[in-house]
Amino acid sequence: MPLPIQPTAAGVAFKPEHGADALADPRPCGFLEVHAENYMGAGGPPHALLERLAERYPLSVHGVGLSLAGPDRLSRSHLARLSAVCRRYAPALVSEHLAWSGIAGAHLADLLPTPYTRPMLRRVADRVDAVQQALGRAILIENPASYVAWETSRIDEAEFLSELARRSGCGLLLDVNNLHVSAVNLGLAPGPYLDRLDPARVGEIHLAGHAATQDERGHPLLLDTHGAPVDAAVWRLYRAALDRFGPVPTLLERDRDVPPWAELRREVDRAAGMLEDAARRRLGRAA
Amino acid sequence: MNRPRATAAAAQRTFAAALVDPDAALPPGIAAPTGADLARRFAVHRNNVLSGLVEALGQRFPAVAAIVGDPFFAAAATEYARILPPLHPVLADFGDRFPEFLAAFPPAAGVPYLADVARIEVARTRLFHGADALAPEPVPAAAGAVMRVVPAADVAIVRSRYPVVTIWEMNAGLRPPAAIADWSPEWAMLLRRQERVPVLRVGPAAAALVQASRRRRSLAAAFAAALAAEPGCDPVAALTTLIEAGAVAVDAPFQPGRNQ
Repeated sequence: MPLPIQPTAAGVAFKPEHGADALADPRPCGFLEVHAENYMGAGGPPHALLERLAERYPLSVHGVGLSLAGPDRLSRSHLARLSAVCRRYAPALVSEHLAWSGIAGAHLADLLPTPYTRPMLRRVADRVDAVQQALGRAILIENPASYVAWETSRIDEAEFLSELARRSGCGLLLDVNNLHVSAVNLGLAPGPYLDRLDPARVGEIHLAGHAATQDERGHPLLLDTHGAPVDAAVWRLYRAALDRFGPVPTLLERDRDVPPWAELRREVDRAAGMLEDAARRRLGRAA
Repeated sequence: MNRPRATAAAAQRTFAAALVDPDAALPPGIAAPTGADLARRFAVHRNNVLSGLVEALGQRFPAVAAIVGDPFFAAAATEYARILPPLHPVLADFGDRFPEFLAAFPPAAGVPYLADVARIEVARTRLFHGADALAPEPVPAAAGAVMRVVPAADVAIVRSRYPVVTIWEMNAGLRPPAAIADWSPEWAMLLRRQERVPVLRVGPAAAALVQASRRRRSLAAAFAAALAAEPGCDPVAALTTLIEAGAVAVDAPFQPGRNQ
């Protein structure tokens, strides 16, 4: 029976090298998230391990390949692969990105920026709707880490996401690191961004580390590397997000310079502590 | 036709093309805040694309990378990713044509066995992600008590003119690198055994038997094929080795008490 994810659950993006530690940990973390595309093979050790993990951990399936804002048609074959993963594991959460990742005949393995226009909003909403129909469930859509903007954009990102959620019925995955990275890179104000999102729609939060650099002109440039501990500014923004949204299942992502399980757990536990505090504050307010 | 959408799609296509073309100009229609370096911003995406694809190939071809070293590998992988980017987002099968690419890649001409090592790595990752059980045996059209050689697992054979298994083992950390005295050809057989995909040495007779098993040939026909492939071989010994390895089985489909 698939395990549910609690609002105060703090989880980690699963790396196969942590398999044995995750299975042996006497104090399992709140959930594990996997990239859907890593489990689209027919069988083998990756599935064997994930099936064992699914007995101990609630699962979240995170897609990186649907290219929802792409210029080509939605890939039916990729949607079928995603459906198969969701049928196999019945994950508690399923998410994808507000991004595109290539053109027909060339998957470019990056999450590319979306023109925030009315036609694009209709296009992405239609596709999210098609995905939800195919999966028979609502999905969450994640905000991107941005480096450039399209000159044609007429809607701000928070408004685009909010309207997308209203039109398609999807939830939102708020990546707090992405928001911080985009805010610094594009000069946005993250506070008003959070205020524009509907708390009822935010179904998951991502935390990750980034690299702080400068371009040749001395302008700050943050890189969403997932290669470092979560930055202090991101923890502060996370606290602000919890104040606004209450406790929301929170995931720590680390893809580069991946530390041992125990070290990742310390960061996960810090998020878990903040989630418990947020739940207490919420109770205190209600009382 | 919705004109704004068509324009947006065209702009996205130009953006995508510029990501993989090192000589392309910055795509039109993108912006960064005043004071920021737009070219540097676009280079972040360019680097994400190429480093992501090179990394995916590096994970699939670690022995090839060990043989040629990281800078050479990155140059070859970058070229491959530009010419043959993945068609879909499942990167486990990205690089299926990397062996052929390496065989024709002029800078790798001095490493003639490189493509064969890559073939081993293609087969190895394919089997690693492959189905856990063979597809059910089709029901034969005609009944009979002929003993047949049949597959017992998904098996891959890599034929080489070089001692490719020894070279692969040295570069996969399975044996210490050393000068190779005997440059006799080696053929590799790969199959999945629980969580692992071992790479075994086989001769032409065994390869012929594996081939015969895929066609569900009779025992007699399979032995004849083995002897034709390797005159003077002991086909029974070769078959026994393959059965013990879990690669093939012998089946008499309509004997009483079997295949019920």
